[in-house]
Amino acid sequence: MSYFDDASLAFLPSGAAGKDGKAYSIKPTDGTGDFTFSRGSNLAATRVGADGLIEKGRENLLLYSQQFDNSYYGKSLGTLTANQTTAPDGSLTADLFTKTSAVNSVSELKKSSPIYASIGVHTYSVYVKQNVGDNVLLRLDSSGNTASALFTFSTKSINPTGSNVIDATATELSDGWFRLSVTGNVTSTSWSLSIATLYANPTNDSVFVWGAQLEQSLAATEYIETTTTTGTAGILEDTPRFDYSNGASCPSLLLEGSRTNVIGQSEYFGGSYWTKSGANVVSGFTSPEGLSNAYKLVATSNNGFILKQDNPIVANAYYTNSIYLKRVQGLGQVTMRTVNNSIVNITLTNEWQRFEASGISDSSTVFTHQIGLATAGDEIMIFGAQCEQGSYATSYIPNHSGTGTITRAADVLDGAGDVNTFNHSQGVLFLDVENVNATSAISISDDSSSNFIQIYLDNTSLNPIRYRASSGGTSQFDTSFAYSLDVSQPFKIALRYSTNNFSIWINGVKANEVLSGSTPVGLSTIEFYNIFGAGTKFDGKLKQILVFNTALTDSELAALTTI
Amino acid sequence: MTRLTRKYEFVDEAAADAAIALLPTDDEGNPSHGHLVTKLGYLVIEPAVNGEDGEEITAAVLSEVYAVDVYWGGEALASWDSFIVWPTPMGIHSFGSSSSRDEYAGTYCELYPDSLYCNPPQSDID
Repeated sequence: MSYFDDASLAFLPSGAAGKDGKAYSIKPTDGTGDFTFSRGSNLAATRVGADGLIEKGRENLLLYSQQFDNSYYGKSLGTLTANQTTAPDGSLTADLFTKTSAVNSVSELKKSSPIYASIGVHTYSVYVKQNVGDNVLLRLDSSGNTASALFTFSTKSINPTGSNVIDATATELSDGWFRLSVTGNVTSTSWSLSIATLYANPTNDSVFVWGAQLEQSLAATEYIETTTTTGTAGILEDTPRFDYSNGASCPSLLLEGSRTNVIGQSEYFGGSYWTKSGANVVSGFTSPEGLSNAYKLVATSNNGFILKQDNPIVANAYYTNSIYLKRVQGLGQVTMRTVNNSIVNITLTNEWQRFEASGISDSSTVFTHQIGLATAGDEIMIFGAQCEQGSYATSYIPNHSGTGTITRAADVLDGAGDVNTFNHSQGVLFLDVENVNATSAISISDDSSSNFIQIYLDNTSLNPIRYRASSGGTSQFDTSFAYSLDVSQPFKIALRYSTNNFSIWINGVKANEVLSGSTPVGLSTIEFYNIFGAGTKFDGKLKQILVFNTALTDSELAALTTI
Repeated sequence: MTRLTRKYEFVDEAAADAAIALLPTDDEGNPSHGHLVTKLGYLVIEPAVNGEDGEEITAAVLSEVYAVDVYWGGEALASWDSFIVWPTPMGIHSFGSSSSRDEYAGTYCELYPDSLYCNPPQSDID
């Protein structure tokens, strides 16, 4: 048989496109089998893309990002002439800013407050091209504390300055264009942004400008054009995350519960947020995101470390610390600490890996996150620190705020199918899944708890597999059983239902059966959460979902579920 | 879908738990008013002071009230209004949502139009 041909609903992340709010099934083709997807978090959600790199939700906080003649931008002692030359994207949209102030006076193209009144690490970037003069200045000003960068065209050099500056970069493009960026740690809500400043230059100096971007990031990311609203890209608020972690060639749909990263600076290790003892850090190395936003940790003495201890967390609860690391130099022991300050030895390679250490917090509300190097002179790369409540790490949640914690809301997948998709008298629900965490439920129901079949996975129980059915509001059976199954590993599971014949198949074997009971009626939807009460959403990775409207034979189910 | 971030304070954790337990559900125990509750606890007023080796010199000063953030799936529940607070929208817990952040900041400035946050001073190069 062809399982695809016989299925009434088929969802494969590798073949199913997703968009904000939708995860498309490849069958049925009329759209009735598509899932509704919601999360409500973009800036806290990440995935590993097909290129193996971490992808984030991104946002350009500036409006009118290539329309500097708009009144959104101020022009101080300078004139702005729109659309004067070809921009880096090939369009005639690059503007010319011309200095009208005297020598040693400032002409400024700027966006004054309120831009985006937030604090923490921000990166400002803009494309510039030389016209008349040799310098242009970029500047983030936060109540007088600046992060500035002076770029010199003739030497193609950029010089970061200011008390808030973290880094500055200049990337040469074609046709004389450069993309400049300056990264700073903004500490006050009262701040302004100099798009381009001509300073200490003669009158009539001028520079072409295009494509300004301000983002909460430790490095400039791909430019996002904006007009009347901020621009978003990458992971949007309700984008399903098709994840390629661990070098997977085919993606799985990542469904996770809500988690909060209590680390205020998850990437910026250079400031005072992280304590360094017997060690220092160097910025500007390529991270698992593919950007220059990783740090190198260098032990200047034995047992050097980088440390964050802070409040508040919940006392006597499971927490998991995680961080991306790779070795650069040396052979000495590397350690990380659990939230309760217990030491865990870890073994690094010269490839990026994510390490995690779980533990139960003590009676205080102070957490610890520390990376230690036993041997002076050893060097490692560090990126993406996270501390979250739970006994395992979830996908990386970036945080650049410095003070605030950030929560990624839970992924919710539901709403696929209608009364024509499902056969209430017989059928099969098949799942190909991995990395199932916590308790996870999958149901086909009539959108109530009166009629349903359900698979309920619980990796915390000695009886990890539970299945049950209800018909007309009457429970037909509710069976859980002992079974040797590591639900964190890939496995295939199918629930077959027909009158007086219900069975569960796991990895090619009939694991359990119930030979009595009526089937539910009016089945109309498939949901990846428990229809009884909140909190039991499916938490794991989905590789395939199939629904059949016939009760497959034993041999068919054995073949279907063989891994 | 409109989602709202709202912030609340309770006298202690027990009071917060009591309010959370009273969030309405339907006959099947599902939330009838979509929400995600994040218990922030007793927030830091003054951070701890640590020495060069990371040892704590001065303990953090924590708030005396218990903070809870709720990410409402629609309108915020009116029965929680008596606990609502409006901290300045900078450096505070968020749900990682651009739209919810903008909604909170906009509502904050409607409620506190004269606040410094909503009227930041202009800044020029010296």
